[in-house]
Amino acid sequence: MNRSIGTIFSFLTVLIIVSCQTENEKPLPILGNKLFEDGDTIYHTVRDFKFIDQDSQSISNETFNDKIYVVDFFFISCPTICPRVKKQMLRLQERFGDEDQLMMLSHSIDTRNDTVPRLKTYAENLDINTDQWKLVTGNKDSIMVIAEDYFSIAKEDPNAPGGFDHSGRLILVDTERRVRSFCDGTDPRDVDRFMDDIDRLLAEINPAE
Amino acid sequence: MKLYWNCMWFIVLLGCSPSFEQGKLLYESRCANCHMSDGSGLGMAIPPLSADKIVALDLEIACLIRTGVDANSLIPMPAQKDLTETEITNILNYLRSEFTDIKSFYKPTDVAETLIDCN
Repeated sequence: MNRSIGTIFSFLTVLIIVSCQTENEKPLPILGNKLFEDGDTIYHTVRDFKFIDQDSQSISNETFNDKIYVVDFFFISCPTICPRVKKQMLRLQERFGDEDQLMMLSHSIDTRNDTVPRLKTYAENLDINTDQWKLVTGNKDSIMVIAEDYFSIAKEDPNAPGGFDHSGRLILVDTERRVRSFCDGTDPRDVDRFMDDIDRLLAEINPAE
Repeated sequence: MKLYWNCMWFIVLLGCSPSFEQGKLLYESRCANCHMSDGSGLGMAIPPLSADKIVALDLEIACLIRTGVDANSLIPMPAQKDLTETEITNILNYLRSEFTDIKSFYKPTDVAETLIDCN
């Protein structure tokens, strides 16, 4: 009797270990609404965009060809969550600085004040590697609209501190412009989990590794 | 005799570990978004609250809190005009207790005197 209980327990243990492994090896979900057309599944993707970065260079979807990238929305004079989020983005830069298949894209939502030279100064002050991490500005409406594609929030609100209401989300986008993960960029522990998701997505695009 | 020792312990604990609860709450709500909960700041854009700096600036921090810092810098520090002398004292003492080894603390009268001369 004791032996059979022991057998059951060891069997259960093996089962738990196996199921935990498969959980981690499962691909990240593809987020957003799906459409089914002619037997194909059409996933939500980020629309075409064109912005200007801290060096006056044009940044578009093509900048991120064959790369995965992390997105956030901020503004320089933001009196609330932005510095905390930027602190976490700097953690990503530190952790994935050598990873040439990962880029980062920070959109300023204060397009009136955050001019190209100010974005440049901001990047220098934060020691941002602008080869990997682009700070962009552009047409205000385009930035507010693209935020929706990333399931983030960015809007002008005179009642919000600093004049803008926005979320501190970090969003992970794959090589097919699909959103695969996000986290609360003000919460270091959620960002830890997000970094694991980045590793999983990198593994997905490099199956040989 | 036992009561005596209990009282003594109570007094010793009061003396050794002053409470900075209000200072902590104010720091978290007014300062930590930019200077971070651990005081590390943000690169060169937002200065860290290092022990050296807290010691060197001393009571001048009271003025910086009340009047703000350098409106022309990339990320200016907003003035906290609504904070009372006691509240500013509590923030200063929280900074000392949290980020330095200094065991002496400011009194609201020290801060009130300093604030008179702020620009």
